[in-house]
Amino acid sequence: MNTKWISRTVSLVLAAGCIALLAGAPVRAADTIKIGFFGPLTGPFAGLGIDAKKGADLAVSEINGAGGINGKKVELVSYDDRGNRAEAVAVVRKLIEQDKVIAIVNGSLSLTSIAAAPVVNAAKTPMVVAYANAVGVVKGHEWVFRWASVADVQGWVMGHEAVKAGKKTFALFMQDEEYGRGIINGAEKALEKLGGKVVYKKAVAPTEREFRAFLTEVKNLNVDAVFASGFGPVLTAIGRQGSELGVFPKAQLYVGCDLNEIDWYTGIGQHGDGTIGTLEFIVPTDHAFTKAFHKRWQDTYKTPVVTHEAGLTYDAARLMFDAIKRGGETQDGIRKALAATKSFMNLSGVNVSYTELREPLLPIALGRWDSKVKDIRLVRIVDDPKLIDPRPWYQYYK
Amino acid sequence: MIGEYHLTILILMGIWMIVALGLNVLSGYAGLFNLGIAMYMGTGAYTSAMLTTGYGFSFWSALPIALGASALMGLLAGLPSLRVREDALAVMSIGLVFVFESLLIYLPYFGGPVGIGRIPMPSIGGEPVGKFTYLLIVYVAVLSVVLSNARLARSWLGLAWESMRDDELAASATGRHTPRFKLYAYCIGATYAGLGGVLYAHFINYITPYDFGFLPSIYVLVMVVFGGLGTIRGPLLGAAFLTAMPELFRFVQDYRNLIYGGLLVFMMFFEPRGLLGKGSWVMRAIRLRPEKPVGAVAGKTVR
Amino acid sequence: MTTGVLAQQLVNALSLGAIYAMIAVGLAMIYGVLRILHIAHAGIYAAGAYLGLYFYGLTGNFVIALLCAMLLAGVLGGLVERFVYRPMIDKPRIVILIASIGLFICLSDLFRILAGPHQLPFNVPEMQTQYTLAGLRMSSADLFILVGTATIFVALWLFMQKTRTGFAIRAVAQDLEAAKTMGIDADRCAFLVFVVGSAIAAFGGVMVGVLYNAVYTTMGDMIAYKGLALIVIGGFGSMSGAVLAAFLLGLTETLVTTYTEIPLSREGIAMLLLVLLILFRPQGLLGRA
Repeated sequence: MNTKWISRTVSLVLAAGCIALLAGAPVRAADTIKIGFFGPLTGPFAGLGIDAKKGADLAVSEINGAGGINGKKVELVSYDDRGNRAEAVAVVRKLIEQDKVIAIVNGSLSLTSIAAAPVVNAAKTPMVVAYANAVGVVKGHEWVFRWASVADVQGWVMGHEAVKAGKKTFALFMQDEEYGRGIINGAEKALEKLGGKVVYKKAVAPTEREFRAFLTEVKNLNVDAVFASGFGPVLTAIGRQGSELGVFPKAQLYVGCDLNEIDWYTGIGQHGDGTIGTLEFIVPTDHAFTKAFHKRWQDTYKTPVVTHEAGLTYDAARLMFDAIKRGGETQDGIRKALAATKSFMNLSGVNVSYTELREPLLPIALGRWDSKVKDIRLVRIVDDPKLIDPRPWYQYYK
Repeated sequence: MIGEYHLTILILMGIWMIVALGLNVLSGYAGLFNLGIAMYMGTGAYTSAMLTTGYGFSFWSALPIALGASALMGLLAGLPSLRVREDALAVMSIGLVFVFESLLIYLPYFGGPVGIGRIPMPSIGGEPVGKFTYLLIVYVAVLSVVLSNARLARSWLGLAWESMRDDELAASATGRHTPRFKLYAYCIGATYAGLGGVLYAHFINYITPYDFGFLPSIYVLVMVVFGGLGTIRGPLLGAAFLTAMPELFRFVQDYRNLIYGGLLVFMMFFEPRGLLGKGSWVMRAIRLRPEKPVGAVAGKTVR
Repeated sequence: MTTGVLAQQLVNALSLGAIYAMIAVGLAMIYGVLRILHIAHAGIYAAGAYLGLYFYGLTGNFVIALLCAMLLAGVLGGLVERFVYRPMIDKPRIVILIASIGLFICLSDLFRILAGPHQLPFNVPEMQTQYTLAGLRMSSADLFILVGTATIFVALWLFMQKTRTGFAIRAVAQDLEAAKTMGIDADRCAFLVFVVGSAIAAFGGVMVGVLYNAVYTTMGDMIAYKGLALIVIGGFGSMSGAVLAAFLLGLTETLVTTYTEIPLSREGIAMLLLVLLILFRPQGLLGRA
């Protein structure tokens, strides 16, 4: 007998065995409403995914505590995408086909969501994206809705705010992926329009933490303000090292929504005072709903810090439940209900309306970091439609 | 009934099988340490992606160009690697793949860190193919690679590689032109990897530089060594199993990386020849003729 | 660029180079004696950071925490040599390399499982005082790194040159067979080299944690690859070469990434240097030809 062909058969049989094992769990009886969730629960961005899941879990436990939707309990089926695009694609396929979820709450990053969105869209499963800000996630995908802001809007607001405060020269730090680029795109367009001058721009990888050389140069250029886009660790590194080198607070630091991230809270130390961030909600505000939420959050998770992924995912889940109530337990019904959402109150107590692009007209909360109380204080909510409209930004992305 | 989820896994398995076989040609047959195979995969992927999204090529007309580009990249990377061997070669391959990934990230022409998206599916008869047809395309490719690989191993080139692998000094002393054979290995291995890359790009439909850097190269190396370096069945099994593994182990999804790392160390302790390597426990257990372990695996030890 | 800015950049580059040197010197020692590319070294480096953080939380004293971390990391390194590498020493190189990679992956995930996925702050108030000397800004952490690095190197040099064990290690690195015939216990040398190298790496890990106020599970990733580049650039097995390469890399990275638009990341630069060096000077900067 030919050894080679036997051994090849053996390996293929083993491979087939693997598939057989993948044959998946039996479909459960439909007495629960299954909603899918995915995000980076392990890997370099695990901090984000885990917090997002906390938000989702809290929303689920609340609604189930109140009797569920139409008497049925909500079941959250969650998978880890490890911050990896190919994995995200596999995971959403699994959710849709094997777990047969009726809808998906996306607790993942822009870079993974961009890969997963076409799959979800082709399968006609409604998805609410909690905190990924890149245009490409939603654009062209009829079944994908976003709850968060478009990254470019944050930059646009940032630019307006800075110029209004009298800043004239700027240094830009851009985290080089979809989210970071979006924010800086918005900021640059604002500065172009309003006559701000960019004298320094640096693109960095999401894993970069050594900024002292760059900041030394920025200090030398004597700018009025620094814009930075990035995940928590990047912003924290810039804030800290800039402060140590004496760049801040002389220059004003403006950052994107990831100011509200556990890495900043635990890592900034006594630095970073006065940093301004363009946030999507703020906790706690004076609104009764926010206060009640905050208390429930603290009781469940024993920490007062609600990071932006947590809060946004909480809101996204609530929105999803609301859509199911209004539209019924069918995928098409949910989608129609989401599209028909005129106004939904977010956890800061602010009413948010939807545009026809499946993007919310989300007010931006400007927050300032106060290092004495180690928390973010609300400066002002920006809700001028000319500033927060996400629609004009679609033209910049294919 | 095969759903889309299973199709996804099967297609990915096939793609990695092809890339693993490419690495096997380089490291298994020709004995050239390589920790950067993904750069050739990336060459194929990016060439095809850019031609089909930016220049109006179809999948089929871009394919030969992408394969040619991969072969060329193999040649370009192989030339400087001729001079070095063993550890320096391994580190050189790491260096090259990092530089490759870095250039893709920083040169805007290639789309930057956000890569290239909306890569189309191939069309047959004017219609883009469905997932199942794509699966067939992938496995036809796997079969072609396996068959050409088998022929190669038995050809004069394969024998030259074997003698080169066993003792490079002796081989060059008998007048065989080792540099030329090495370059053949690079070109052929790179072409296989490039083919895998093309299939990957059109399947995932969105590629970034990070897909073709050091880590993916290591994953492929692990697949090959796990299955059995220097054999054809080894990379096939290694690719199949290690692609399925994250899915199989999803029930312990919190500990997957730990298990993966532990599995590697465990395997290296107990079956470094690979599960289906020549003379391995599994092979002997199936009571096939226990072959004398020859080749890259038995040679070149530490001291 | 004014001299003031250049001087500040040099200062920035100096502590970066020192950290690289801490890692590279251990790797070079290990390579010299065992001819192993010890990728898991980066895992020990990160373990050092976590251990340092843990002991600092326990004792509140930074120096004690640092020493405990170095000690335990040394033990960990020794265990790795004894139970992972030594049994495999006669297997092909690729097997050891893959085992090392597997070990590194395990360690990184272990950190995540034990300490959580979030970045942990390593707040040592004494290390955060800012000094301004002649217009240059340094923190006490930077000074500690430089002083510590210098001390470690001097101690290491004395050890290698002036003690019998040091002599034995150098002999093994130069010619294993000859050393064995002279009656030197190669296994013991290997073990020691791992212990010492790992302890030094832990110092690097702790200082990085303090400098950036961040200890996180993937902090070893870039170090793993750069470490390899450094021992190659320095000259396989040459410790002084590795140190030289480390400082050169720190300097090059700092200046090139700040002032040029070269389409390469920090790692890309290190790797490009590596490729060029292998091509044109395969013995590295200070290696034996």
